[in-house]
Amino acid sequence: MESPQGLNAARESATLLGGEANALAQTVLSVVFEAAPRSAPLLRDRILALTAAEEATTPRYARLAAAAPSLHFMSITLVEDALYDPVFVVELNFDGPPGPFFAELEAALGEALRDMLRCAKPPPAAGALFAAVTAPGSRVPVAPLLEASAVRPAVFHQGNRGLDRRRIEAEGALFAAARVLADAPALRAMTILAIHEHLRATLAPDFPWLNARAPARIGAAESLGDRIRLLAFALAAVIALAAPAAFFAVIPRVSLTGAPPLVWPTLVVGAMALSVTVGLLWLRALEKAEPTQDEPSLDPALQAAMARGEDRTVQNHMISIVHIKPGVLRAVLVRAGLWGLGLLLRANGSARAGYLAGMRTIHFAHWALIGAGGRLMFHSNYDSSWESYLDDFIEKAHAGLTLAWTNGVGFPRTRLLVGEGASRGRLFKAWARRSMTRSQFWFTAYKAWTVNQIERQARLADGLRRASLTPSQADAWVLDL
Amino acid sequence: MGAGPVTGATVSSTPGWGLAPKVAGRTQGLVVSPFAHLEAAEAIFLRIAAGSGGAWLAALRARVPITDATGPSAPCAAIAFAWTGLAAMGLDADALATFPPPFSEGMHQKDRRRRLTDDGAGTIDGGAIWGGTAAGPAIDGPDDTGAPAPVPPVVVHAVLLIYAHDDAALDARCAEAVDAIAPLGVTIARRLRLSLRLDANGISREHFGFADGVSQPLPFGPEIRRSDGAAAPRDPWHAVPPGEILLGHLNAHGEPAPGPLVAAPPGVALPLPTKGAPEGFADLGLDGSYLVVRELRQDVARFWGAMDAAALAAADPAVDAEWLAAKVVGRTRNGVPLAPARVAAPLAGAPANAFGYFERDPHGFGCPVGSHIRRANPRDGAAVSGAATSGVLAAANNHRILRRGRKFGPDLADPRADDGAERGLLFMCLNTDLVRQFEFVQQNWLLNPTFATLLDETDPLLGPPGRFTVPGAPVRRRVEADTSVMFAGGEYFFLPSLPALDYLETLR
Repeated sequence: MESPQGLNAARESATLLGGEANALAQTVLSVVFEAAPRSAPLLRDRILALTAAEEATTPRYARLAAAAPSLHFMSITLVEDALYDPVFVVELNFDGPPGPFFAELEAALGEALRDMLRCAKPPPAAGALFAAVTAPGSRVPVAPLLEASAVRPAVFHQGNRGLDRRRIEAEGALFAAARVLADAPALRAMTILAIHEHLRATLAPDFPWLNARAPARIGAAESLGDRIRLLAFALAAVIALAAPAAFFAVIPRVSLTGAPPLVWPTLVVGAMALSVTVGLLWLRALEKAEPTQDEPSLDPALQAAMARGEDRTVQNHMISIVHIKPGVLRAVLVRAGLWGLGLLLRANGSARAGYLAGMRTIHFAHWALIGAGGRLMFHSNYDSSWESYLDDFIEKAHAGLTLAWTNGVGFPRTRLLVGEGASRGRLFKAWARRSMTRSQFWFTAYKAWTVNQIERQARLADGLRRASLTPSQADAWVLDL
Repeated sequence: MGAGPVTGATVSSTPGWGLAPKVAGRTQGLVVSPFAHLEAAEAIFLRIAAGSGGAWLAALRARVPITDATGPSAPCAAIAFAWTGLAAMGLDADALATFPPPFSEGMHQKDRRRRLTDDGAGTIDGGAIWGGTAAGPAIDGPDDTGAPAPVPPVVVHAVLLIYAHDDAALDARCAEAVDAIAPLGVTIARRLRLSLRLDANGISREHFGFADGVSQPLPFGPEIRRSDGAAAPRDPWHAVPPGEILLGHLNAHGEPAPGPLVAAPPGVALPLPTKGAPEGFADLGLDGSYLVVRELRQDVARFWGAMDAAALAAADPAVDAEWLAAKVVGRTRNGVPLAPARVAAPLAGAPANAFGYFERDPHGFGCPVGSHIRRANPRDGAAVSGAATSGVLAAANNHRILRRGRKFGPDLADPRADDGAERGLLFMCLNTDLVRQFEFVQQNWLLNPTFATLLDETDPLLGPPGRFTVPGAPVRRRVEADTSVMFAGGEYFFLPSLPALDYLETLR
């Protein structure tokens, strides 16, 4: 992105960067098909052929980066499963609503995706469309089929929420330019405020958008919606927990009309406590009885293939699919747990700023239930090595990790949903590795930048957009140079 | 013994640590001591002929006993084996398969070398010259260019470390060892004479002139003892569970650090413990460890030449080579960690080591965020708030290594004029999880181009040539750092317990 082309693109988009009240929100989804078993090897070859073709451009993936300007991260993977036919997954993380993006994707990769879809089974809900799209010589657009087969995640998380790709690239180009200017020895004799003024004056001609205010990263309506949804979930949880006990135990014995006003809250809390107690006893009994897989067998060839693909840049990709434990309680817990966690991550202040338990290492990650709710799929586009990424969570956020995955078959033994589990780091890592496969196609729009670096670029740009800074703002701003 | 700089005094001074008597009798002495009371040392790298069995090991130990951890002794010796060495001795395939992948694949596995940045600019010209791998196994295959993955020409199967008071005693001891093993199928692949050369203050300095081995993890737990025999307290800054250093003991992930197993058929008495091992197996790993060995060549004149050039480019009277070199390392030559001016100067004595970065130097105005010591152990520096510091420190301590290295080669008389002699550091460290400890430090901290808040720079001491950010007011400077430490060879070795050595002797 520090190339002249990137800089030119950043300059051209200058008018747009300040022209909108709100930034574009990002959309996260996966398109999921079952692969036709006989054609699975061919499908894998076609995915790998696409990887080879896009890597052959200069620089690598430049064609796709230009053809799909809304795309942040994308993966295409064929996932084998011992108990089911293979799953064919296209993971998409992009700016704005799906409609315009799918049109962009159609233009960029439509024919390659059509060839891959020919190796999939027709989805029951869109059989006619599938047949039309995959017919020999078909010119029927692929995008409607992809959109019809898209799975919205139960939980997703973003490191740089509200920064669209165009803005990330423009601020990255600004950062690179500012950084070189800041190397000049003459700056060492200046005050920080003078340095700010000097850099702003020098850079403004090349980056005219510095004269416009930055769009709000998360719009007021979106924020309000996040809060309302979380509140509604909490209310629904209260009703759901209170209802069974109220129905069976409390209501028949109480005269509803004559009760004093304080009785109602007491009844609700009492009924909830009863439900929670019964639920926890049930859960604990399950947790003691459910089998675990302490030493999953790892296929050396697959591990080697993953090692070959990992750590090629500062970011990595992970895809994992696990089976959900049987039973009603697990079915309820996985849905309620993921739903609640998902809403919390949208509304919680530090999660909105990209942090999970004090760490900001995830660009885009999501969990989604697939296969009629029987399997849990996880995608993550993260910074640093896999070991580092998981160790961070094992060490600082194992409760959340355990909550998200405790309903998976073979997961290390857990105590009351969040205890133990992922804190048993080696067991957890072996379990997670076993659920993973090699990411056969993976695209990242800005491979050299971590989440923290993108925020650093945004802070530096924010300071340069301001005509003047207070001394304390300036002290903080200069640290990002 | 386990802590403090490698000085003559640390052998008996607090905060040293040792092992409870029962464990100490089973554990190699190198675990608890760098043998700093013994100035002379040699690393002898062995090549073991296939099918040699364990007879040579018995013959060696009869004349050069491997030192246990019960107390000071002299001379001392330690021994450790590469996976290929254990295979050559005839350890069966099922037992070999119980070792973790980094150990069985070795340090020179292609993707590992890429992740550890052991390819390219950080390696001596022509590539590393020694390692444990003979031919590339199927897993290695050709590299990205289609060329076969390079293999170090000198194959090393085991490393024998011998320590003595002086050169004469060391020579005699080494000769005994070589005499014992030579007739039994074991040859010398490489030898390196090691030294401490303590200065007047009792400090050992690496070749660039800086005190080395200052900060070490401090294990605690029922099997750990202070040097006076009392139970070791939990150190607030450097505490690690014993299983971070000793296999089979409680580790940082709350389980006994997993080690290798051997089959124990019913009715056969093995010298190995079976308690705690799965039915049908004996514990080959208990009280053992993994020893990482890396031969790092140091080009002293190139290092100071780069510092001189960077000082010249800075065009600032406050910046000279000495100042820059301290910023690169993060400490003064005497080992005192750099800190902003507002932090009180340390009192006399050993360099302070009970400190974090979050409180006293969050932005690296004293000790740069990208300096060697801050990358090698970031302590609490990654915390985003004061409340997070204890969690961040505890997390960082899950990636500690216990260093046991010594330097090799003569001192360079004029640090600005190269004399062509080979010199450097034989880096050695102990840990039980090669991926989570040694490799994590190397890949995610030292050579991570996006470590902390940095971009496009790696460890200025160990990494390839590139920029190094020195924070300061009003604005940071970025100086050019050169490569003056180069990887010349290395391998992962298994450092067995004494009972495990007894077992290996029985191999045929």
